[in-house]
Amino acid sequence: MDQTPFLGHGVGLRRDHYQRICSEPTRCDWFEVISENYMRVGGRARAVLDKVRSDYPIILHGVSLSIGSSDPLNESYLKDLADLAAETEPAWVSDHLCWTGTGGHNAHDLLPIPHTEEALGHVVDRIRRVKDKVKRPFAIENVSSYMAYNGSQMPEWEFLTRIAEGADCGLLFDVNNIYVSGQNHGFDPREYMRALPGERIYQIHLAGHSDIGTLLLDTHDHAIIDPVWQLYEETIERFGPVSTLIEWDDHIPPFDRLEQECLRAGEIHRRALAARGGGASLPSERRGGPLRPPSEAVPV
Amino acid sequence: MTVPQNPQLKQLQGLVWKLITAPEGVQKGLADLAAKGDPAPEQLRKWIVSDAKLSAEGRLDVYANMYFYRLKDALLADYPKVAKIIGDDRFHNLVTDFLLVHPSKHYSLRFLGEPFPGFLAKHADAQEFPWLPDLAALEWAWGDAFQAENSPVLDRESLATLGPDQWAEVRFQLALGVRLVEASWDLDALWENTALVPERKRQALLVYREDDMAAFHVVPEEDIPALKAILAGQTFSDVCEAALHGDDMDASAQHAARILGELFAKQLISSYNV
Repeated sequence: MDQTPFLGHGVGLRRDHYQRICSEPTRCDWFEVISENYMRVGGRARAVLDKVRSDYPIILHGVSLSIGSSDPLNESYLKDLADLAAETEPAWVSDHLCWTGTGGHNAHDLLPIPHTEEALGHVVDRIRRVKDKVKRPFAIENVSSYMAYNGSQMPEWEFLTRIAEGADCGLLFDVNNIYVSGQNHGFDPREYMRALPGERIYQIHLAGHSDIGTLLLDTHDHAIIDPVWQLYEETIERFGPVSTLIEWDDHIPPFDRLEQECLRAGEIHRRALAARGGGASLPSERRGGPLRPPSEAVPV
Repeated sequence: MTVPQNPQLKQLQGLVWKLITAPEGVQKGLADLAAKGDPAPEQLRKWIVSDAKLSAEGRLDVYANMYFYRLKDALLADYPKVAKIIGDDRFHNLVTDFLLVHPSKHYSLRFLGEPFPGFLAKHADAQEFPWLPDLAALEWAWGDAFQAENSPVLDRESLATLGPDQWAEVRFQLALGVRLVEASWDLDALWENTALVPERKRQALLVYREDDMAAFHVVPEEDIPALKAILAGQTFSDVCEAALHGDDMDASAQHAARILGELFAKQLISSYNV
């Protein structure tokens, strides 16, 4: 299993915040980058990515790997992802335990996989191939879901755990997603959390969601609610320090607001570690640094 | 045909795809499939959980709505001026029609809208607003120029070693994202004011990235043939011929050199070969 550093607390890199992030230091320890937004992309977006990477650690987080699809793995996608990973040297690369399309088409959504032995073997094999291509530590994320399959043979937490162990990969544990899915499908998120192999959790996601009455939706457009903060604190108490990211992708607030959520996560993290009996963990020193010989400054 | 209780992954995903992409929603999609003798209703009942909280159809509808509105938002971001001209309701219907013919096939939403100008040219909306396809082509080129991968910039001085004989055979490659949009309407005016009914006129616009921003300018009519030859990677000799000065080869060469000089000044030439 790959060894990954403790990065501290970070936020997603979003266009709305480019100017702020590049113009002065932030109180965030690292940034998560949506892989597809920077694959084969140049201009300002790439300049900002390079600038951020020179100052902070980053993670590449994808949405189109479609690891659970019955379609073959997209070799063009894997090459472009591997190229971006080689250029930007993320601490790890991640994507979702889902499928996004079939028949050569892409729904650009994270569709749930049935928890079957067939699907499990299929996904394990594909993750191993992805790891070989990308050549970085790789983590798979649990998704929120709004439907389930009658043919599922095991609970989601068992499915996720067996995939991580079979593929020897990490987990990106989305705490909001188990809260949302728990409400949507009637399971206890704490049972889910306690079943996970803590040593494989590279990263945690925290986010807000929407309540449409019948279901909760993982919309990433609200502040994190108290039950999700509580679940986060219990996760850290149980597993120890885990790099944590605040996701806020729609109705994006000013950066200062996002930074506040990041700092709050840090406070809760420290409190949880104290309750666990450990000292506060410090993130590794910022591991940005130039990827290439210094060149003329790129104004952003 | 008997519907198995435990489908293979491909069967299951095929069912979900059919239903979440049905243009009028899951329920209508199921009814249409049932009318054709498709086993989808029985498959849905057997394969997707229905419970007291929400039916299987209702749960799939959540995904169906997310599918459509995510892609509609992407197309709205690519074609804001087209959307503004035809209004939200018609844009909604246009997107519905578009996705039926051109579902996304790329890993990035960035490329979803690439076939949109061509699709629009054959759509009924183009009859009421005949300038829409040209405007869409310009919007696409604009977005592509903004996001195109970085290209090296050719230093003009590197051509100093070329002899006169070599110059005739030189072919230039332009930076990624540089594109010539040829239109039948005054897009330059329409770009600034989408409420206009634009003048019908032949117009060519060179679209590129400058200082990290997308930009375009109207190409003088006399420059269009030579510029097209450069963009097509033709030899400098061919570019001079396209510059159209009759038998005056010196004038043709000067014209071609001027156009090249303007491209060099904007750092739009990335390489050459002989």
